[in-house]
Amino acid sequence: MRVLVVEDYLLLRESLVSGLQQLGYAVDATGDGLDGLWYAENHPYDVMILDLMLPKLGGLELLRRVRAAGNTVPVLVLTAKDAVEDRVVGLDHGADDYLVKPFAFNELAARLRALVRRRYDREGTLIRIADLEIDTLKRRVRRGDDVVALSAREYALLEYLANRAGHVVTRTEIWDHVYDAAGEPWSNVLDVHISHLRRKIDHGRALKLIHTRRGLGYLLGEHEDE
Amino acid sequence: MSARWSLRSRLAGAVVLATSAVLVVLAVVLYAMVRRTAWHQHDEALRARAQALAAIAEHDDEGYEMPLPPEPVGQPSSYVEVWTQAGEVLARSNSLRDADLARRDGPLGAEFLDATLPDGRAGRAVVLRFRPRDEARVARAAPLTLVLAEGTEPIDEAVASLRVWFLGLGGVALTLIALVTAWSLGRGLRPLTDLAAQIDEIDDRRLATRLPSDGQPAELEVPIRKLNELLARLDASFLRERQFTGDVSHELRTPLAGLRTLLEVTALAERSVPEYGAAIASALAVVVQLGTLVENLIALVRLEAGHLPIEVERVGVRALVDECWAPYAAIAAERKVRFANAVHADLTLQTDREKLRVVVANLLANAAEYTEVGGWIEVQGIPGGVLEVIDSGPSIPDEQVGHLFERLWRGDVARAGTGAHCGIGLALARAVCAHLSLSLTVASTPGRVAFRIGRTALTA
Repeated sequence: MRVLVVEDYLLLRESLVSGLQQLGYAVDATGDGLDGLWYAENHPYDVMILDLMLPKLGGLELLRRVRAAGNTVPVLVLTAKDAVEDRVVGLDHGADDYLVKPFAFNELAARLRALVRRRYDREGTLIRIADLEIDTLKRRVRRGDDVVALSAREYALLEYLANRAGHVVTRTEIWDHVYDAAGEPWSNVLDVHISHLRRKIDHGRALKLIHTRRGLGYLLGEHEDE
Repeated sequence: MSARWSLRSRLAGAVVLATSAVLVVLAVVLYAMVRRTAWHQHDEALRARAQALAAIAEHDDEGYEMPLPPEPVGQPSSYVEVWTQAGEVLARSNSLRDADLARRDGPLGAEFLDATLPDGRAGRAVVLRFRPRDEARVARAAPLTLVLAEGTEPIDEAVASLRVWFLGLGGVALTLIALVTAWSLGRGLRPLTDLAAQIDEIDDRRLATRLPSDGQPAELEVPIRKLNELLARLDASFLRERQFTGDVSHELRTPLAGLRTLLEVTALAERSVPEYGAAIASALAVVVQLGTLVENLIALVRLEAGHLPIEVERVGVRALVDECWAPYAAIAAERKVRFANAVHADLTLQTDREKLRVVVANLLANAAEYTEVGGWIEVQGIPGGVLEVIDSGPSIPDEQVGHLFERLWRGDVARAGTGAHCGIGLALARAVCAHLSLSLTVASTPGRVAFRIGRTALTA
């Protein structure tokens, strides 16, 4: 999942980036409102963390412009003001959720998961495809009775494919949602990660779940022809 | 709620009291006049009857003759007695029986007096002294004295009924006046009650409300205008305070959020010793930052509440500048900002050392943080003033200069750094300057921003 963090306080921004990367998110971050708007307009994020008091362009105005452009990315607002009107104003401008500073990182992570679940229309934290089971809460994957150990990036890639199970996902989409802006879209990192996933999930099993659509992309599902 | 006097009852009381006093005086005067006229008419009637009786008296050669007419039957008795000058009774009415009326001497003419009648009733008498008709024409007849006395029941009854009417009508009039006064005052004062109800609805969340002056009586125009002005001032001050509280909470919570997230993220996994070291250093920097912010806030609040005493001593300005610069030297060096203290070693000032330190430290902190990378900072003593902290910019746009000293004002220049060094420093510096009777101003031209601590008329 790819996250945009717009927060002007450097220490908080860097800590958020580091924490979210450890959770397997692809993270882009910036400290001013205008840059934030540019990122939001030019990348398909799965979720956005937005501070309200930003230099150059305020968080509310950024949110208003993002929504005015028809962008439905889930937005979690961070606010230092806890008065009801301050919280309501964010929601009224199109925010999906808010957290009052200071917050627990675990709570932020839980809310991000909930926003992503909603975005992909999932109800629970568990994704099941045939005998593949992905626990998005504990970030644990099983195939049948075996626990599958994945790196953070491999997990992120698998979760993204699982969220769109049954649909062909293009390489560009994967780049956009699983890797941050610092990545190299045409490097073979993606092929490496896919081959690792194949080896860990499908190797030695009759039912293959990860399928390649030549010239199109990848598909996670029981049937190759979905 | 409490037993206070009310405008309405006080006005109503005054109006009713004044009207009643006027009415009572009028009624008493009128009553007295009517009563006097009635008595006067009664006396004139009595005199006319006495003169009619006197016309009967005759004097001739044989002496005096006075045959009284027969008395009417069935009416309350009247009493007549006539004497000669010598005191002989010439005639008396039968009604007198054995009694006598009192004879009074005096000049010719009529005289009236109150009397008690022989039958015990209260009455009125006329004493008429006159000369009878003289048939003899021999000698002048001596005057006779006639006393006619009658009961006063008719006039007493008339006056009594007049009194009853006066009292009755007066009572009704007073009641009506009281009712009308109370009603019209209630009606007249209703705008006040309405105003009170409107004011009642204004709480601290509705300070933007203004009281309508249209359709209000002229007397309320000024109070309503003054109330609206007061509301506007309250509104502005509440807004400022809310803004300040919000800004303070932002300034405190944001570093706190950074600190917490840093610690929680660090604790997510096992780290190397250098990683822990870096995290602790970052955390410590935030704690120091928060500490400074809290100290500045407390100082500002104390200053604004006027609780900070001034301890004056001779302060060497150059040394103070060096002391204040020490904590920022490292940051400045990192940002390749050059620093020069050009204050003359002899420059001293009679002031409060610690408070002046707060001012200088905040100005230097501001300069160290916001001067462009590779720029310069210079402190100069100024003739006729105290000192100037000058840096190479970036310059401050004109429209932002006016806001620089506002508490927690966030302009982009002020926010270009980490966001934690907030606008409280300059607000505090200016407040402390004012406390020390110094001025703090800023002048910004391209490539040069100068904060000047100056003397005011009050500076020693």
